[in-house]
Amino acid sequence: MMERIALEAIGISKAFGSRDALRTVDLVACQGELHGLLGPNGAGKTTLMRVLLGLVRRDAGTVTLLDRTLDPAGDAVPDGVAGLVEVPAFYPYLSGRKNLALLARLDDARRSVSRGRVDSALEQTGLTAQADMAVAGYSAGMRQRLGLAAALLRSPRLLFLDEPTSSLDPAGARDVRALARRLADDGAAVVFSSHDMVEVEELCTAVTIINHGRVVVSGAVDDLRMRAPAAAHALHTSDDAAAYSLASRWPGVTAAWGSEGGLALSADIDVLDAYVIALGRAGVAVRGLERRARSLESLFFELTADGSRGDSPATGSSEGAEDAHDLEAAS
Amino acid sequence: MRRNRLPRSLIVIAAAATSCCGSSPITSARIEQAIEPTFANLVRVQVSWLKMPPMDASEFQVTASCRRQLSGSDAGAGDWVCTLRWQSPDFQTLRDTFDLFVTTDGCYTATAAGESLGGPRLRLSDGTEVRNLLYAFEGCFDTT
Amino acid sequence: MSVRGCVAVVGVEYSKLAAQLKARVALAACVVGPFAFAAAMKAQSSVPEDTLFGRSVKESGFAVPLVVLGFAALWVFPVLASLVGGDVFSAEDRYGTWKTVLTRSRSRSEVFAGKVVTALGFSLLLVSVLALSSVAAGVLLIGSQPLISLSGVLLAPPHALTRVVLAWTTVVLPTCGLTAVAVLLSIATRSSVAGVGLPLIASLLMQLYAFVDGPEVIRQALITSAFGAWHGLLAEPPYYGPLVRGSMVSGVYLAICVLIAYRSLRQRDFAG
Repeated sequence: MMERIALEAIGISKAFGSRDALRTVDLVACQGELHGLLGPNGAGKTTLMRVLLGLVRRDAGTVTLLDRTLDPAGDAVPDGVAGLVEVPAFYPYLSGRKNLALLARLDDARRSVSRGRVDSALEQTGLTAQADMAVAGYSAGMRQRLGLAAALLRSPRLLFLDEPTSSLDPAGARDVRALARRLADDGAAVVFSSHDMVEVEELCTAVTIINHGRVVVSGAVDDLRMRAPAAAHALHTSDDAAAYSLASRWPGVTAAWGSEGGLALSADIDVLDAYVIALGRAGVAVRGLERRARSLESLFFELTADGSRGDSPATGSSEGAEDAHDLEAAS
Repeated sequence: MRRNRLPRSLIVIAAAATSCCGSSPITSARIEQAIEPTFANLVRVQVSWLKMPPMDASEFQVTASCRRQLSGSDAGAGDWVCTLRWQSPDFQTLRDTFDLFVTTDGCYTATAAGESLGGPRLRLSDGTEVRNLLYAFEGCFDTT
Repeated sequence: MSVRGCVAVVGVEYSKLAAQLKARVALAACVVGPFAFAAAMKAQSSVPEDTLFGRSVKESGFAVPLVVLGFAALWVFPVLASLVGGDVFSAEDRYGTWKTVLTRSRSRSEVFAGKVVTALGFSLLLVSVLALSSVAAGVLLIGSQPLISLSGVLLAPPHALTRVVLAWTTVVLPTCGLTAVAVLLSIATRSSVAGVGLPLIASLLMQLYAFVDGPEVIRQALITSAFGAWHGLLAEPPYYGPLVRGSMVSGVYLAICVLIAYRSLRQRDFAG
């Protein structure tokens, strides 16, 4: 299935002084795709977004947005492309509506057209009631929604969202995710960067994981889940001791005593099926078999191999790249 | 900025420019050429304000002789003294001295040194007062 | 880069200006100031003898705009020129809105050109309002009597008015030059305080040089000298040397500051 490519960024590199922020990063997103951008703080997600939107000049690489190649130096953002980078900023002495009207004017909209677009964007983000209040009085959540409204003004077919749910309450975050999903369903490509791996895994159809300025792994979420280390299962039986001794002799199954009673098994799904059938034949009844999915999060931590489940970048980047290499070779 | 062409060329131009013109354009010749007609025109206006018969500026035959108060230099801004020889409306030959302060942009303020020309204001025969245009006046001249 | 794009930016900038208090305060001050001055001159007996045409200020209303012009060169023009010029770029830094403005359909060149045009236009608007208000204040409060020129010649009211208007016109280009200086300083320092304050300080320092009898060439290279070029228009016969030179110098300041400012903005990374 050949979807049209909305975003094609190849070989993006950017250094700030002696610090390499991005090293030959590739990012491709198709129409209708919700593409997640995952990585710890300082990985380069925001820098990449800024490069793609023309806010930061790239040192190398090509950027094509909706079939338009972008000059490194200060081109306007093409029609149909919109972005929301970090905490949205507006003129605090103007109302939300006035801010949006000015931005619509910068987008070439004639006044009659812009009024309709502004009203629609405000409605879609639930800000109609506070639209005429000065932005200085907006809460963080309202500001975030105004930023989304500003992006929606451009009727985007390619939308960059940089941590859009970070300052929102759960209800607001849910609305944003629903909006992103709706836009993708309507055919737009949405690049959604986030810290929250659960959010990305639930929401996105494709993901690119970045660490220390390099792409660690990239692909469809389903494919990557397959590559993730084998899922662990929690097994509760009528005779755990017997189950354990059978498991330790069964090829392809790794067994350990679970922290909450029962067994913790690690095996491919086919091997597990055969083992469970064998348990039954041996007279051991299965009372509970729960899949503890090791998902993208575990894949990420393995690949980035920082040694600790934290955000601080360590020296593990080369290992991470090697792991990615192995995965690529294995597929 | 990586390229240093722009600042270096500016320095070269500035050095060349400064090396040429050293002396000040505020010279006695320029002051005299400015103050003579100015004084004559002011006398003409004063004559009309004093409700005397109108006269042409050239009739006053004003000549000026100016020198800097600071000895040792003959050009530059600051304090100057000008002596004006002219013919009054009643055909008397007069000599009046003025203290000038000249600014670097070529404008001067001349104040009468003595009381011979009267005070700041003059009284007409009908009791009204007019400003004495010759008591203190100002003017400008070209320094380029 | 398109003209239509710049016009869109100019429209947005003027909308923002209209909502800002400082723009209205500055315009009001330019209207009220000369009237306050003329009223004071009418009421009191002493006159400002240290300014050109100060002595004539009670005798001819046309002296009022010239006294205002002389005074404004020292204090007012640097502030007027940098009020918008020194803030129009650094305000985006202050509010963090560069990323908002630069992710729309306008290129950096269009944004730059639009903001510079806004700054120049507003400076000129303030100068025009100040000029018109000074003339109105002089004529309405003092009268339209003949004016004694800088060569002692009495100018009939129509001639006096023409010369006064021309004199005010000569400060247009130097004001644009000062605005460009303010723009460059605000882009370089990313601070509105510096953008408004530094041009004023620089102007005052340049004018201090007028009191020093240094090399003439340096004095003529200072943009503040161009603000006194109008003297030649009030002489008989008029002389234009300082005006020609001042215009060239102002043009050079304008061109160089705008070019450096443009390059700086083009190359900047907005990394947050």
